[in-house]
Amino acid sequence: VNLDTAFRLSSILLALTGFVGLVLTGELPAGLLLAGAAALAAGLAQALGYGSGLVLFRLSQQTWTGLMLAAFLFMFADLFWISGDLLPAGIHFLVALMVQKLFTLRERKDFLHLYAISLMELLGAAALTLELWYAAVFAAYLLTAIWTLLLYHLRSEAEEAADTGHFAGQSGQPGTITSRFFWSTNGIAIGAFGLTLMIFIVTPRIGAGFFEKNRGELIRVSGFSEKVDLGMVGSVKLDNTVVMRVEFPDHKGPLIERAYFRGASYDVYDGRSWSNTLRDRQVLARSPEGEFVVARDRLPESSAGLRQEILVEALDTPVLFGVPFVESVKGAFSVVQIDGMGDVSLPYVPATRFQYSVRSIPARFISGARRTTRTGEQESVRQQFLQLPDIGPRVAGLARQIVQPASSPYEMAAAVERHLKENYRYSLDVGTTPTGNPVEEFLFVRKTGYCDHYATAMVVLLRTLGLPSRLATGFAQGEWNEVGNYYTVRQRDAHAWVEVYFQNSGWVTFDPTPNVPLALPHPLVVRIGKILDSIRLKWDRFVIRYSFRDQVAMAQGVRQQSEVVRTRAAAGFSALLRWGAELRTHVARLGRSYGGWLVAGAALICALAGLGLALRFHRGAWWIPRGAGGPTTQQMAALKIYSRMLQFLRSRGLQKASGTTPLEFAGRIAREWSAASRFVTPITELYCRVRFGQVPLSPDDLTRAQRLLTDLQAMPR
Amino acid sequence: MLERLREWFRWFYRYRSIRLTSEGTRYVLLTLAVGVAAINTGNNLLYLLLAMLLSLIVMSGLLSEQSLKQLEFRRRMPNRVFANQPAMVSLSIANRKARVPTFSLRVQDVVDGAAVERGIHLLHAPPRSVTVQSYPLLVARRGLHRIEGIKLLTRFPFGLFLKAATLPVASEAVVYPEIKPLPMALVHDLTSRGHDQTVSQRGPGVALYNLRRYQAGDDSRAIHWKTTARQRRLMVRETEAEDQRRVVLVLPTAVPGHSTPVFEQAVSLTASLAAFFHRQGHAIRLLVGDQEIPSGTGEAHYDAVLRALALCRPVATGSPVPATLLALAGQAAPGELMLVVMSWADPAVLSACGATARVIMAADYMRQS
Repeated sequence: VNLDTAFRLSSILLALTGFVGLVLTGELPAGLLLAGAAALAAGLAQALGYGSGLVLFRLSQQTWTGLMLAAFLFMFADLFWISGDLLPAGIHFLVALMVQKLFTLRERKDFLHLYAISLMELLGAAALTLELWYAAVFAAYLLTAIWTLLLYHLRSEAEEAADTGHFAGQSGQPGTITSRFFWSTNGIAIGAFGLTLMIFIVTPRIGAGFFEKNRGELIRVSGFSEKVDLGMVGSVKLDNTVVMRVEFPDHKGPLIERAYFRGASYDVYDGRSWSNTLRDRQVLARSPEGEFVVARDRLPESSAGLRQEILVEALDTPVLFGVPFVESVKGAFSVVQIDGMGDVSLPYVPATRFQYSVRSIPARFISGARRTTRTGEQESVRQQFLQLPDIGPRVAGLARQIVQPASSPYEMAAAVERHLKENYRYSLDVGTTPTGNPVEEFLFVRKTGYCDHYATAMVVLLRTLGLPSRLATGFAQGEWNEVGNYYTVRQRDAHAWVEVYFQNSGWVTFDPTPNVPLALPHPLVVRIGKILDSIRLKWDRFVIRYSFRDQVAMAQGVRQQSEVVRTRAAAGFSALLRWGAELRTHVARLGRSYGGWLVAGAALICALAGLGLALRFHRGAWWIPRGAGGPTTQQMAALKIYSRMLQFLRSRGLQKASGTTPLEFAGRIAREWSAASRFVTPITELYCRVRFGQVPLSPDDLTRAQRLLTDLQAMPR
Repeated sequence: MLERLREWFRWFYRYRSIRLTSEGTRYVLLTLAVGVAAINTGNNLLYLLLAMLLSLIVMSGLLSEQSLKQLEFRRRMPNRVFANQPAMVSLSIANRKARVPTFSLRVQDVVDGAAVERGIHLLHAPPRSVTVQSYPLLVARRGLHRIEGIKLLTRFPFGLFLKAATLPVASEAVVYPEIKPLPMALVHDLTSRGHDQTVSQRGPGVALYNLRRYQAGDDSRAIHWKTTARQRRLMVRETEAEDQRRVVLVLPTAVPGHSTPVFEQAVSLTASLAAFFHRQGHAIRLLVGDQEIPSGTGEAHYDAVLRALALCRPVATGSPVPATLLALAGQAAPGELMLVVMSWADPAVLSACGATARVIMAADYMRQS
């Protein structure tokens, strides 16, 4: 590719990369998107030499100035009335500038302006997104920027040399992009990328955040407000949007038991909707380690609990999710609240992706209480969690029928759970407006439903039996990602289940909803999806969420590692010294005997022989530096071929005298063995080029020389 | 310790320096703006962009250093350099790197501690290649001209910084005095005088001068066969030099007070006369102050004459007249033209050789030329 073409092409590609970054944020209106795309296409066509067809777009400078002035004024209208925000308005104006520049690229400063605009576009995209695609756009931008700046510089230098009439040098400018230039430039880009990562890691994070503003749409989740209608989960059961990713740092594989990420719970059911009447919130105390502790007395000192690292997307809820039951929360927030139901939440909707750590003690039923017939719950719990709506007697009858053989509360709860799982069919195809009582409809008429119906029915059945219970909402464990060792939780994993109170065990989780296998796409698609999601999590963890805390942790890690290395090195060195001392003692002891001298002499001879052999196998003398002055591998091969040719000719009685030059010897061969001359002469010429001309050889040259030697060796004399 | 450190910095700064270009200044300002935005928002993507911009600065430093490494320079000065006349200097630039090319290299000479632009702009030097560049050297003053080193400048790779390195590649040249065309009247005068004082001498020519016995080393084409046959021994023929004349150029160096420009004119006129007589094939003898270049011909002798003129220095008046000048009177050999070029009417010199020599006042003739 011609250098000038490459320069123009890379400039357009740089603008394109910045523009793609903006487009992917989804903030560009269709009109600007089309205008930008058209301008880039025109610029691309021009760079490739098809510019003659674009005469139509050539406007006068005055026209462009007028248009830009109008665009500038429009930006204010955009700022105050259309977008209502500086960033989108500025981005819209930026695209207009880019379009103008693409149509008026002539002088060097125009190209510089275009580069500045593309960088601004990338900055704008950075302010508008946190998504993984930005990594790809960034990498492409870095590569293109290296190419563009390098070509811009070379072109400017050539122009300056021409303008000033300077001697441009015998070698002149590399007129085309050679393969060496191509790979060198890409190498520079890779180096710059590595350096970028290093600088990114070590740059101190001292974010002040004076004017920080969150952007982007929040993910709407249902089932976590103070009052939720029955059937709310069904609406999101087909939504694949990721809502959070959960890592269990102490587990290398998936959990054995099904994990639930509890968000909210409800005590009162009015026949159509659930509500939380214990919504008075208290602020949690913060421990010196920065943990918000829910109930310190419940967490045994020796137990670390089940640790979870949760990365939540920008949801429209302040609820903090965690495996029931949450004992402590740690994250970059100043206040965490808890309500009467034990639901943990923030005082505000964070409206951004954020990460936090949770420690939980999974609810377990204490087996000693399994057989007890005494319910004995505290009166307050009984009053709060035995509330029932107006239901018919059939429900109570069914409940008694289900638990007929059971004698203890736990067995009763388990029987109800089992009954619902085995006798009802899971289906999302349920009418949204039930005519009668939804629970009765589910239990006696339709007998199909989804988690809301199952859980509500179980709570109602248990409450008719006098067992305190409540509805809990959140997400079921989601999909295990074995690539990244975490769970990906999506909207479709939204779930409702039941918590039953037992006197000695507290709240225990029951899930009456049968497990329904999802229809998954092709395994390869799933696998690729998991890999991508894992990369996305790492991107989020190590780039988007990279913080000062990580830097401190990394510095501590490096310090610990250096301590380890230092200790090992010291141990190795002292071992070496000890070994040396022992050897010296041993040699001294040997020296006292006659045979010792023989042994020492033999060792010396062996050492010298080893050194000689090493030098023999070494291609050159070790004291001669390799590299700049030394022959290349191919040149060495050419020298070997010539040497073998001489050896062969000697075997045929034609020995080269030491005073004869290679060309003289070739002349002698031509006289004395003319048939061999057509092989000897080209090999000699090649040898002379290598030996005296230091000319680099191509692989073709070598192949030809090898063939000539083979043919020569096949000749009779 | 502090002094040594300062000394090291001074040394380093002398051999390596870096400064921002106009594009670089804008780039750095943009980087600062992105840095402020990153700190303000705490947005890691902005930190990533900031890291990218900083990495390009670092890469710029590394690549420009790489570009300046392992370069070898050899300067070849011209044989003769005259003041105010361009002479071509050739500079060979060898890139000794095995794989890395060098781009965008400007080469300047360092003279008297200052860089002098020579217009050498090497856009591309492939690895293991040698490039020869020539440039005109124009020196205004006669004397010893010393080029102390070479200053390399590069804006590679991104044009953000101008990196300079100084290498000690020294060269010297003796700059001969400026040769100016002589006024026609003087040329005519000198030509006619010269013819009057011609004496016959052996030398290249056509007319027979002498016949003598053959000696080893004689040109065999000069053997005179008829005489050889007659005398039965090898005889060679010698020819008479067609235009063999001799001239003595005298340049007194005693100059009053502030007459240095006049002295320079006298030096230039003497050199111009030497050039004139050299072209005419005269044997030239030069007396400059107390220095004497004996009579001779040929390019080497001509160079010796010019060199003496290039390096001569004026001395204050009142200094004793050199013995060589005093001895001039009555010393002129037959056919020898004696010219005394004077920057001022020095009575001591005039009394010493005014009678036998032709006196030329430099100021009069340099005005005419």
